[in-house]
Amino acid sequence: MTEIYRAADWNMMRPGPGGAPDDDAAILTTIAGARDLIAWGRGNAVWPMTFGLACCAIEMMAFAGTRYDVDRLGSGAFRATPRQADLMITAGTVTYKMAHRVKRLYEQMAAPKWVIAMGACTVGGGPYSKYGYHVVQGVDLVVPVDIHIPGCPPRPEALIDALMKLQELIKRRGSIEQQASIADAVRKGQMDLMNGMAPGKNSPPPAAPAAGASPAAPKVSVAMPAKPPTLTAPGAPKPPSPPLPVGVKLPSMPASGAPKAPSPPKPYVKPSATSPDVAAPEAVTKDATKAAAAATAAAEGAAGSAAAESTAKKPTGPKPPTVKSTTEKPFGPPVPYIPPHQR
Amino acid sequence: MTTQEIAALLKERFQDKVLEVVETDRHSHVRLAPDVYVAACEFLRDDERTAFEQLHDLTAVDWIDWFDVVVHLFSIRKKHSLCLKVKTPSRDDATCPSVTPVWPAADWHERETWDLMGVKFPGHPNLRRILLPEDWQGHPLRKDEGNPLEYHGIPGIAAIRTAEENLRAEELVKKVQRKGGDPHANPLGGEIVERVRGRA
Repeated sequence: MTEIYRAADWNMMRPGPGGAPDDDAAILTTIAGARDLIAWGRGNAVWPMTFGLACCAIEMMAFAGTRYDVDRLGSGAFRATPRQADLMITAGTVTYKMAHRVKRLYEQMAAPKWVIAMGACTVGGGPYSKYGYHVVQGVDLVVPVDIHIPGCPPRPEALIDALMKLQELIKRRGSIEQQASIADAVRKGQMDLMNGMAPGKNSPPPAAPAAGASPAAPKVSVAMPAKPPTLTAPGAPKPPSPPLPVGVKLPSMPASGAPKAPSPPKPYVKPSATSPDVAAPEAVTKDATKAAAAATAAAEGAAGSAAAESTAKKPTGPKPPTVKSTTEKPFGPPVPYIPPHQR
Repeated sequence: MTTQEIAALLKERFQDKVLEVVETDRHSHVRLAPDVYVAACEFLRDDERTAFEQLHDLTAVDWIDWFDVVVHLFSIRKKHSLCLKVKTPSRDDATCPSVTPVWPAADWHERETWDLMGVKFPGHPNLRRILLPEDWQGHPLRKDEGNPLEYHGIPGIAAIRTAEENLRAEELVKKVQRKGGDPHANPLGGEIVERVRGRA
């Protein structure tokens, strides 16, 4: 322990850039061990903040109570101040008015800190997403989120599951190098997916960014999903699209270098029945791989017939949105409304 | 007492200022002219035959051209209730006299009605927003009110949907261009446009 304590000088262990002046391999081994030890300790004593926003907080209280007894996982110590808390469970609807309080509470917590977004409202607005004028479309627009739990509200078991996943995350992260390289690998995998390639196949394996600075940095084993769902099956033959008739003009697409500006309001238009991807929204199931394959098959199967229909009656549907500045008018234009007795 | 009997008392005192009396099985109301609204409320509270000590609810209805202020009263002693309605002069001039001096319970109800519907209550001692943040613009439960595009940098649903659509369209256009095609001339273009639109 003496060795660990000597190496575990706070400045050297700090999980941030410039933490460790690494020049001695023996000490480095000890530092890596100390980091693992610290990560293990952190993972087994995640103290949540006493903080509930809406009905999900009732489930969070059950999670902390005797029946589900989260104290056996080391997270029973709900702290009444953000200064002593490691974990913020955003349990409930986050309104615009509350969002800044949530952010302020998060900023008052001492690093390292984690956030669990509990319930449909904090994941993406939930039932208030479309028509609620007051609900933030997901708490990850306000604070960084580590774990999302779906459900309305999630059962206490789901919250326990999220806590155990968070513990794994904390223990696996260990160091800032590992965190950076995991994020890098995930980003590269996403880029591969966007380019229509299987992730990790065509790009070189991610190198640890701090490899040059600290040659004896702990070995990183990046756990990527074995076979993430691809948007387009790589080997599937594509049905030939009929060429456009002469004189038919496609709706204009936004330029690729369009300036990023606040977008104008746009009424939500339901996808038309002839749209080739009409089967896509049904495909949101738990089995993502199967669902993605089914959606791809449905989309490609429908593409032939739907493309013929769409060529027959072009141009169809609304135009893609145009980018326009709305800085001086933060609210959408009035929606024409006809009361029921005048329809 | 039924609504008809209470309306008879009101008519006896305020004559033609009682504009309308509707009595049905489920929902009855008395419509009053705005100029006698507060006086009628004081009468209903103080008269021994009506004795409405309690104001249960005060809210408003958006009828596009005007707002109806709806008040629900209840008497504990007499065990009867009454619904009053008052029309505002117009949509632009959405004002209705305050009954906070008559029933202090109306204080927060009128603040909420101002906050969400934008009906002003002259005579209210403290007419500020009560639920929404003080820098909020507009009154969200009005029929012509859209959802906010953003609030202090947090994007709303319309902004998010449009940004997602733009991003998808950009990515698909880039993908076609990388493969050496023109997304507007390429036969694949139609498919791409349809795909962008279908997932939007």
